[in-house]
Amino acid sequence: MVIVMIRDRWIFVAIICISFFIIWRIVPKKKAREAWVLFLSMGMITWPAGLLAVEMGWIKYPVQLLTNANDYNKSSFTYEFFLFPMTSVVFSIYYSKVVSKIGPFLYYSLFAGLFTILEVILEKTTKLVEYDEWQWYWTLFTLIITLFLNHKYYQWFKKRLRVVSL
Amino acid sequence: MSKELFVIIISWIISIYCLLKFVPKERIREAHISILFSQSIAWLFELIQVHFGLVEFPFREFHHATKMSFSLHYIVLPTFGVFFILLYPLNKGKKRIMFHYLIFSSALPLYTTLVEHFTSLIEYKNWNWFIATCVNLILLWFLQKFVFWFRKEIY
Repeated sequence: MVIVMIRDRWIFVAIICISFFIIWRIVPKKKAREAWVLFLSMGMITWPAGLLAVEMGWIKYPVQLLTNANDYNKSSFTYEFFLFPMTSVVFSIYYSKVVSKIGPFLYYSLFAGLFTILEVILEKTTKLVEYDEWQWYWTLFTLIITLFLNHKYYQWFKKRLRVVSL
Repeated sequence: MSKELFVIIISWIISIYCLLKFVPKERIREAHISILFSQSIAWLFELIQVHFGLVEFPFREFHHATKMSFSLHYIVLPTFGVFFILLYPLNKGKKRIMFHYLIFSSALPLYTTLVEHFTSLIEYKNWNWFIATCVNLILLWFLQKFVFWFRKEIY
């Protein structure tokens, strides 16, 4: 059990490092503020949503990034404050560029689908996430809805952002 | 209705009313980024407080899911952060700015200490209003640096 916990935590660390690397490589410096808006606002959607899902007993995170985190907070810090926001940043920053080529349906499916597949793999093979009532398509749908909402918010915010310095 | 629930509802109403009423339209995005950043640091800081057992929240919205409070750190404290930024004195000299910092970093603990005293929403373990004021000075400084950097590109 202890070995599994350590292994799982390292998987989280690896995912976080890869996400940092992706963000660092693909977000242009002049879009730093846009990325901040997306990152922070997505976290503020998933914070109450994640608490609700745990409160209702739909989903569990038996192993967390921090040891004993489940003693005081059973929702997932890594998911709600890192992986979802990161996904949203990449999604929205490249939205207009890619959607003009492949259309919004495929674009949404690609992001939500990849994320869901990754989560299902983690669910099956590790103790990082455990579905109770939860189903894979709940992840898919909630992710599509939150990405959509956050993208709308970002488009509104962006209207009055301009680049003054690099 | 318990008094805890009453305090939570009143706090939500007053916070939202102040935000809708007193944020000027031309500074609405500045207010938005202030509230988002305040929420994140409030939550992170709360996590540290609970992790080290400095503060407890006996009455909380998500009783099973977490031992941390939600409303206080989601709406009330961030509202303080927004008005700290909106009322920040520009070109007024160092003394006026220090005064501004002191007012806001002590107003927050005044609120939480009153809530602590009269309800079971918060319970101080190894914590008091003086440490809270010192910590707030630091957090408000972070907030101010971040928002002033950010708003260079808001027009």
